Amino acid sequence: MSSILVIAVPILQTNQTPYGPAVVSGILRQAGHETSVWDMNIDLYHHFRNEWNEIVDVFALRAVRGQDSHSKIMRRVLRYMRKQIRSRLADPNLDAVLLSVFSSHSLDAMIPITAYIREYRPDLYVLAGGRGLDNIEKTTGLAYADYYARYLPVNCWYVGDAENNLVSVLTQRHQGVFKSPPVAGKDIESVPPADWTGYDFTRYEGYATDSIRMPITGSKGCVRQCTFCDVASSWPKFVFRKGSDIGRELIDTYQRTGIRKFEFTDNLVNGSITNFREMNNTVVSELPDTLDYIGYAICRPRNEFPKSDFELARRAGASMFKVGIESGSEKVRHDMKKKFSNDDINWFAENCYDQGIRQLWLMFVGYPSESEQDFQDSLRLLERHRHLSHDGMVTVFLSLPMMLLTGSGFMRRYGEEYGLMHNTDDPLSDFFWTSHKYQDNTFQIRVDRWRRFIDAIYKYGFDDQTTRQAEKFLEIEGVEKTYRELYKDGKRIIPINTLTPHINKETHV
Amino acid sequence: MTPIDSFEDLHEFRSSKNNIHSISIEFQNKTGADTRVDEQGQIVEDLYLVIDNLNIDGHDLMPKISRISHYQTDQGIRTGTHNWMAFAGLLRIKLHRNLLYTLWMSSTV
Repeated sequence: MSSILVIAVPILQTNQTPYGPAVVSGILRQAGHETSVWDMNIDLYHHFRNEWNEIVDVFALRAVRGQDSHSKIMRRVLRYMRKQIRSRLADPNLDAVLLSVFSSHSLDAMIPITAYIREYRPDLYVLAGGRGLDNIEKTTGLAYADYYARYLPVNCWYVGDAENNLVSVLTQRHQGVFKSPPVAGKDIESVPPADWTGYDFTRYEGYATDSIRMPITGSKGCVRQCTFCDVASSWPKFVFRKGSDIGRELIDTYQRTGIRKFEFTDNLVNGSITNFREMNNTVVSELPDTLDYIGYAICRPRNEFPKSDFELARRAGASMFKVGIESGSEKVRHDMKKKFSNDDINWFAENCYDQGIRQLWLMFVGYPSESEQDFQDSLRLLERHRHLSHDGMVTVFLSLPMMLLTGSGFMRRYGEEYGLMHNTDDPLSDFFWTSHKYQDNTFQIRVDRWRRFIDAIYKYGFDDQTTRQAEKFLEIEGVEKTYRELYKDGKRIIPINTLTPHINKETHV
Repeated sequence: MTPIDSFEDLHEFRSSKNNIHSISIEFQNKTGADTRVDEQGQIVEDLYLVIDNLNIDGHDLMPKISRISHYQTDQGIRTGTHNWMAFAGLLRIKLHRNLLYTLWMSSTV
């Protein structure tokens, strides 16, 4: 048995309780280890509240470094971090530290944190894991797990899901980079609930106003393998926990913490309809009309997902579904392997609306085979459902025009079928890809459709008020500028070559 | 001005328990006769040492040299560090044993 400290590495959102450490803590405790969780991020936030934006700038956004005003703040921040680490590591019984690196925003903080850990406790076994380590370090092209393994004093860099191998890696004191295969059904079935012991929820933004949401995972992966999407590269199969277990976790968490709002981390909450029903039934039988949850969902046909399912979901707490509609064209969705019809969309949209469940539709334009006619279908989709848009009942989030994502179906197997041209060494060609099969689908056409579609979103009242959408306006202007300067009229400083896979085959299918 | 001489050497450093390693460069025996000035007092010829390259494991440390070193003249004056030594004295470059920490700190604080 080990005594393990799990650290949530800054920078994280201050209105969200870090989920990774709670999940890991649950897994390790089930295996008989003693764990404690330290959210270093929320500590920093409360200690440096007035300077928080500057700290985020330096750590997460890598901006404004070296300016005197920020240097002074950062000296104080680092002194504080060092002192806190010393204090937290003082327990002589402690024999391992796990560092949870949630996203790219946590990567820089790893550098001083690991240095300070080693200053005080060179004897400790240190393991780092989390999706942040999957990011690519630009100068070397290596994943951060591999890059940091060259420099930082960490024993093990754990890449992939914790559910299947973390306990054995920790027990065996694995050294170096460990690449865990995607989690399988049997792994996730037996995964214990997240363990929130030691969290002080009152410290998170939104606790006092009942707006804080607890993360929860019911499944991993997706029931579709859409061509443009990269989910299947991480989880090739849809795997899920028993619906009754998920329902039980919702109830227990509410009863233990008093927090009634949840957000599913799943790619789909209703990937398995029977399981989704079982989860909702479990909640409704004990806590009807009490909880509130949001998550990603897929449109289901009326014969599979009757009206009663919408009512049941609402009573269990469903308050918003985020739905990847993607396109209003049935032909394009068929090409995407999305596999739902316009009738399925109507059924889902109208029934959610009737039950007071809000919807966020995720859309994009510029799919390789999208014609102007297909694009008009997308505009008609909005027009047809304009009566649902009032009071934010249905909002639409428009992503940037279609990009070729690393690990997407396009990159893995459909590149040739679509005649895609892309330079794997040039990240910008994720935007500026071309197709010798669909030559009319140029970057300029895609941007033009993007602007016409965003106009329609506003015209019909579907506008998403979040800053996330506002940021897309800035991003598209930036991408357009780059296109004009470097790519337009054949000014390609780097030739766009035929697409070739460039994913890490050890961790991705 | 043409350098009067150049010198190149390769050093190996072994890691120790101490977290901080230092590279010291001492510039000795420079006298007033090594600096020639014109009637306006402008230096027209001088003796100085140029550090042309500081690279560890492929990381170029030259842009960060002012942040990772101390330069003290024989007269005991601390002076700003650039990539040359024009005063007789000691330049000490300090490197944390964790190279990434050195690089990060030198661009952050």
